[in-house]
Amino acid sequence: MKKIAFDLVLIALFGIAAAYTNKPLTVGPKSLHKYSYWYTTTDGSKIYYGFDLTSLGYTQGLDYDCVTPAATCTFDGDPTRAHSDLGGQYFFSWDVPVSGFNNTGTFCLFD
Amino acid sequence: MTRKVKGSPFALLKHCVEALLVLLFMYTGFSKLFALEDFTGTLYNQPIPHVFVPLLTWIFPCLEVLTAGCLLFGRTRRIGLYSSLALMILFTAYIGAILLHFFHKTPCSCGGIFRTLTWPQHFAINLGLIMLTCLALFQGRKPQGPPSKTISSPINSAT
Repeated sequence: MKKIAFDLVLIALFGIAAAYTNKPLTVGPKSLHKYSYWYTTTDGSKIYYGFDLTSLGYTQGLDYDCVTPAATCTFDGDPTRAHSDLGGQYFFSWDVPVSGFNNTGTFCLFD
Repeated sequence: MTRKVKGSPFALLKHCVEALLVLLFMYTGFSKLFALEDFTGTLYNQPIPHVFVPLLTWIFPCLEVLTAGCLLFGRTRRIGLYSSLALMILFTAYIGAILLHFFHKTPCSCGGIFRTLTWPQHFAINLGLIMLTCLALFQGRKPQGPPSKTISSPINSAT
């Protein structure tokens, strides 16, 4: 059997260490608010936040956390950090109601 | 029949590709394992059936770590390279499908530093890695012709 490549072992250990140091910070779910996104009602009366927050520069695990979606995808947002609404306007998540979302009705995709 | 090219600049390049793949798969695999809940959330937001998510949560990081592990040993290195190629092709095909709007929504990307990349950047990097892996797999061996037959003539046999 050929010997183990020790230089590759060192690189592997470096990769593990890098993964450990770059692991996302866990934000306690109690400090986060919950929102729905990707969907809006067909009559336009209810709009749910339709952005890919990661592509907007928000960090999953720090600014927001995806929650196991049911009918609509939801996320928990850090209330102390700003987010962006459908019109591109920034808002702070404390401006958004924490509860009382109306998830009933017919939903359609934004795109 | 094949012959390995040893001591050439190519051998160095091949070793560098193997090192790159070890770093990549150890990093991405352990990034997922260190934040398994986070990765599960990411998978739930991908356009894949949710019933597969609990299984895929473990399969992907384990495959990545196993692939990197195979690259460490001489005997399993070639298996590791093939496994790397298969994983990279799988991920790249998935990204290609996202870029072609094959799915109804564009999901957020996966863990580690790769979450900061856009999908086209991710796609370009993956294509580059596929090419490098192919180079390491297939350019290191030169085809050899069939073994030359020794013609024994009656004269030679007699002498």
